[in-house]
Amino acid sequence: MSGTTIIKAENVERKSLPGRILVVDDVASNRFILQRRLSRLGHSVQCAEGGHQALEMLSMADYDLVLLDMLMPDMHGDEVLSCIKSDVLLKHIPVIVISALDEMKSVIKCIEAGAEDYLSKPVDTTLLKARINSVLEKKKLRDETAALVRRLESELEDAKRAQLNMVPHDFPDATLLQPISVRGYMRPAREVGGDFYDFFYTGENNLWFLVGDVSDKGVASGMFMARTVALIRSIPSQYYNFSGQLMMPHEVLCRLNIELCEFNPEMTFVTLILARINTQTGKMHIGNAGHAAPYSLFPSSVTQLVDTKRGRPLGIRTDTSYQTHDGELKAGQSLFLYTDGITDALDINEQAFGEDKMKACLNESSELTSALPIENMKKAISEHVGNAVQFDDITMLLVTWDGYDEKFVNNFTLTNSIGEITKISDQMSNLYQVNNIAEGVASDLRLVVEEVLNNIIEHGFDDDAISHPISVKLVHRDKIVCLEFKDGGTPFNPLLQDKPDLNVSLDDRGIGGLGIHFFLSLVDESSYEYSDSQNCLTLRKYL
Amino acid sequence: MTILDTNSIDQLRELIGGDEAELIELIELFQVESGVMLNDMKLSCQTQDVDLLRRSAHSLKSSSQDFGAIQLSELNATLESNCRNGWPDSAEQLIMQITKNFELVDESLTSYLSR
Repeated sequence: MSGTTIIKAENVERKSLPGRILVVDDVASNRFILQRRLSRLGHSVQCAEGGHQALEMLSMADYDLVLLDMLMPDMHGDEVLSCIKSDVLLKHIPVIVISALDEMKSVIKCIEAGAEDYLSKPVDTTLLKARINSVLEKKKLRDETAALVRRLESELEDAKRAQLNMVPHDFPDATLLQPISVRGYMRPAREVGGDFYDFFYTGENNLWFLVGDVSDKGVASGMFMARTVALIRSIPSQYYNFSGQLMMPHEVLCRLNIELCEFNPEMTFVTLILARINTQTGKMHIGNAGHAAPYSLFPSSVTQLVDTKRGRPLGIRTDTSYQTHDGELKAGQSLFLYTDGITDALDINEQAFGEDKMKACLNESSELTSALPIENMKKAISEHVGNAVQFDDITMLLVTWDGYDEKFVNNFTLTNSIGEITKISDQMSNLYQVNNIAEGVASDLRLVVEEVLNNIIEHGFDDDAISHPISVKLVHRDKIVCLEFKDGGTPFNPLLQDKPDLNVSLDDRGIGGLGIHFFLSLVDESSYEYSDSQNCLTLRKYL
Repeated sequence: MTILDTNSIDQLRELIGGDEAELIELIELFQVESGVMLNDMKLSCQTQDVDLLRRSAHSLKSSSQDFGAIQLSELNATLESNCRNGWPDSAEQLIMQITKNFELVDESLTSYLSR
């Protein structure tokens, strides 16, 4: 057939994988021949006259392969091989030993010491090509695998960092105004874990805190953890119901559960303890979605809050309901939240750290505050685990309420009758005087009490004919006077009312708002919540 | 058995890419290097340095084989083998034989180069 080029099969050479090859031989003519032969096969070739020069060249440049002669004056080939294979930076470089047929003992020794292959002298061209190609292909695969592993490790490390960045690391200490401290710790077992903790405020005095655990481990659970944390964090409005009242933990858990059930074909689930505490009163509400109940730490008393009713873990069924457990932290009391990575931490004999050891450690730490209980727990786990591999994430959170040094607490009760306001106000004024509260402050407090009670009595109840109880709690703490008003009237949050426009005349101004604005201007802090069918307004004035 | 199998040299030329100048360079390299190895052998006799003798015989054995100097290669193989259990009694006699054989190989190579 004219115009057709026929290429004989034996003339078609398999394309060689080009490599950087170091030829080590003390005989110049051997080096000369091998260099030319290998260059013709497309390789880049450099030569060393002996072992020392070879090791120096290997330390200075990258090579894909070493062709190593055995009998050399300065170093025997097996010594050179041993140096290469014991060097962390060189041991990945494959070595082909070149030897005479009567040197098989040395060859076997070298293969045992890590040589990739051998070639006997005189070196056959076909074998030379085949073995070099085979070794270079294997090295290329190894290099690619190593690069892939490095990339994956690096990406997992990035993911771990990103995940750790999703939980807060700035922990608040107790202050005069916020007598509460928080400490947390999380250590993922693998590069990416499924545990998490968080804490944040809604309003000035409502601290939410939580510890959760996503089923399974690894990237998928890490992603689910990120989704859960983002959901909890990114919708602060979900913590208020339609009336603007703060939601209870069980209500938040219900919403969160419905969100997590969506787009969850793998049925990944999350166990979670979610709590909120009023930092001024220590009153606390806890919701539990299938998680281990937290521990209460009080000097010489460590108890698990087993009465926090466990609901189903989140993400399984949308029709799951949850409950809120009400409690209260006393001054100096802490709440310890944790994941089962602590109790399930195994030592080298596969013995779990267990609930008892955890409780014993908490007992030893019950009189300690700040980060110490967490540090003690970390130390105890570390001592237990020893050199065993950590197989589950370890997470813990400690919330300690310092409370206040209360100088006096008085409770007053009145009914919704205007005439009772002065009576209560006079009783309080006496208390201010007895307790050396400055006259100016006492005067402000009197105005506040009268204005608030007036508002409640005038506007709080629809049915004027019926008598309704109103309670006022007066607490004098270190440098703070705190007033707590409670009434069972119409739900009303005075803190959500618009400020009156003081620049317009009284005639042009709308009705209401001025009294609220007035008493709020006389105090330093205010908070409101509607719970147990009661309006609860707390006002604080610094002394 | 011929002193020098010139077919081996033709094959060697092919192996290194067929370049005549490079072949000449290689042959001259072999001639000079073999002279050095022979000197090393003679030197080893003064102190009965069996390692030096064995190494030189080993190197000359393999390089002379590449150039088709089969007799020379075999003589060196014998000498190398005799060195395995210490200094061989046959050392000086074999070195003399190797020297004579190399002179013939050297002449043949020179005449090959002057073709």
